[in-house]
This record gives sequence, C-alpha cells and structure tokens, in this order.
Amino acid sequence: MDYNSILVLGGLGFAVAFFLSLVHSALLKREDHLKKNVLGFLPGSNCRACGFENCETSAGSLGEKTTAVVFCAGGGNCADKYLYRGVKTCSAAARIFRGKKECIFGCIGYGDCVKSCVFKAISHDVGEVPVINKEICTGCGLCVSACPKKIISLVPSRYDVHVKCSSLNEGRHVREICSTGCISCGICVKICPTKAIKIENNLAVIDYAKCSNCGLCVDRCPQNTIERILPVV
Amino acid sequence: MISNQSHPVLIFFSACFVNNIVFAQAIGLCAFFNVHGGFKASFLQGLAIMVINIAASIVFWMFNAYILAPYNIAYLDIVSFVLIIVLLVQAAGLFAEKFLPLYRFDLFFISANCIILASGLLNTGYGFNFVNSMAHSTGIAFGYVLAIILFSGLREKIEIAPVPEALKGYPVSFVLAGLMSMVFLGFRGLLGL
Repeated sequence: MDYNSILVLGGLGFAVAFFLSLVHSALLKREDHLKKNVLGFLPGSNCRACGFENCETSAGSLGEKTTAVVFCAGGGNCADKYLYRGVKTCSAAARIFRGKKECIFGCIGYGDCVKSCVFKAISHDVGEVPVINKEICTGCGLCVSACPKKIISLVPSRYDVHVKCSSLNEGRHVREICSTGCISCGICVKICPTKAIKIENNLAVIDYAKCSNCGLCVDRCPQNTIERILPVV
Repeated sequence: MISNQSHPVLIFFSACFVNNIVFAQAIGLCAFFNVHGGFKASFLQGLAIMVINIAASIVFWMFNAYILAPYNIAYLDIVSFVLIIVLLVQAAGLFAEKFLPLYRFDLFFISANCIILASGLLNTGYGFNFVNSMAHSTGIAFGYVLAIILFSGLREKIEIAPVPEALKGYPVSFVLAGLMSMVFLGFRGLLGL
C-alpha cells in the first residue's frame, strides 16, 4: 500500500501547526488575557454584525467603553460660503471648495455618519450637527471613518466634557463666521483646576487623562464651545 | 496562448493585462468586492496579496517540484496549497500585528484567497519552470493590484452617485466590474496572447 499521500499531508499539517505556534510565541509574548477570554465567548465567524471589522477587534474594544463624539457645534451657527444644490451627502459636498460652510473644519450636516451607523445611535436634522446617543453608541468607529471632515473621534465614555470645535482658524476669523467656535481666548485654560486644557493651534484641547469632569470650563466658555454631553433622555 | 516556452516578460504581460485575474478570469472576487474604503484600503489589500502571492508561489513551486511530483501524488496539490496559504497568511498577519499595528490589512479575506491558490494551480497546470512561474505569479499579483486600484476610483465616484435603492452596494459593484471586464477584453489578441 502507498502511504506517501498520508505521510506528506500529515507531515505538512504538523509542520504548519508547529511553525505557526513558533511564530506566535516568538512575536506575541504579551497577550491580553481579558481580550482572550472575551474572544472565547464570541462565535469567531467575523460576521461584522456588531459593527467591528472582526471578532478580535470587537473583543479588544470591551476593555474600555468608548463613545463617538462630534467635535463641532457649528451647524446652523456657522455661516454658509455658497448655496449647495448637489448630491445630499457630506462626502460629495466636501469635494467642492472643501464644503459649503465658511469654516473648512466644520460639520457639513448632510449626515453621512447617520447613514453609516448600524445601531441608529445618531440623529440629526439636515444642516445641523448630528447628535450621538451615548447610551446606544458602542464605539465601533464606523462614523469616524464615514466623516469626510474627520471631526468625529472615539473618546472613553466616562468623560462628558468636550471642546466641540475643530477649527484651527484664528480667533478673529472664527468669531466672524461661527457663533460657537473656539476663539482661543484661554479662559478655560486659566479656570481648569487640573490643568487639563491647553491651547494648541488656536484651539482648546482637553487632555482626557487629566480631566476630572468638573465642568467649570463649560460654565465659563464665552462662546459655549465647551459642552457637557450627557445621555439623551 | 502562453506555454513554458514563452518568454517570461510575455508571461508577465499575459497574466497582468490579457488574462487579468479579476476581469478576464473572474477569480478572487470575494476579496475584490469586500474592500471597504477608498484608494488607501484598496492599495493596502493589493499590497498584502502581492507579497503573499509571490512568497506563496516560491513555496508552491518547491513543494510541487520536490515532494508532489517525485512521489507521484500531484492530486494532493489543492489541499496542500491551501494549507501553505493558511500558514503564510497567518504568519504575515502576526508580523503585521507586531510591526505595522497602524495599518489594518483585511487578512480575513486573504486567508481563503482564490487568487493565490489559482496562481499556484495555474503554474503547475502550465508546467512552468521556476523563472516562468515567478513571472506568472508576479503578473497575477500586479494585475490584481491594477484592478483593485482602478476599481477604487470607481468606488469613490459611485459613492456619491444617485444609485437606485435596489442596486446599492454589491449589485452596482458587479455591474461596474462587468463593464471593466469588457474594457479588459480590448487586450485580447495583443501580441498573439
């Protein structure tokens, strides 16, 4: 009897398994135990129903819950540059002179993020900045990649206070075009008890590692740029 | 037609344009239609497939020449090639996770990839020697990258086009791919290939 086929295939199988385990142990020494345990409970079929790319990223995201935050409060408060009558999507509008808003950093307001969200966690009126429901949002990041202006980011859910502006324009210019943009006045920097806020490139930026959620900056911001985002009731 | 007597450059050209793996032979469509995102995502996926395809072809050729053919067990080519692909893709995934954590390659669709398997099987089917099989699989890889980059441009355009509700997503992609494959028919008969 001819045993060659059995030997070759069996040998190949063992060789593949051996080599893979070797590479695995050589490259990935520090495995995240929480992630590994969670992964054991998932089906592992990578169906993408949870909104994540595959089961592994889904398991990795469970360590700390994150929420998507739109870093713009413009919408109706921000002046228009021209009358736009094209296809009603943000990605189309963003290709014409960087969008119809005077502020090239701001939300265009046609709701590409709303369409991308598989959980219906985002609601919005046309022309206004979308509102993300903190309770429903799972932090999958689909809206982050859908936004052509890249003003949505994932932030750990335990922080509520956000600077709702992404404009790097000078304060004087921001004041002309937008009634809620950051004018980099620096009041929040002075009032912050934990020194978590810094002005970088004409924009106040919160260092979330230092933020204590106290909300003093929310009350003192002259432009109402800094907002406390609470779960939608 | 190409054969083992053809010049390697001719074999490369044939695999890249005339017999383009996606548009002329309709192989590897699962990976091709499942790229989400624009040019960058497409390019990264094409690059991953190119590297793995060329590496796999070397292993395939050696395995076929030194183990399968001498022991007269060439009928095991499909199953052994699949095992080798899984090995290479998983190893590449681990490497990418370690050294390039910022780039997210869609390795899930490559692990069961028909392009790499097809390039190995076509090489053994044509009976190519080492140089010719390298030229052939490099041509296949370049053809795939060309196809996916051309298609990423169309994808970006179709994203903002008023597509009917019933055709959104995969259906319109298939229609576009059909049109593109008609374009690639224009290469048919070039240089007698």
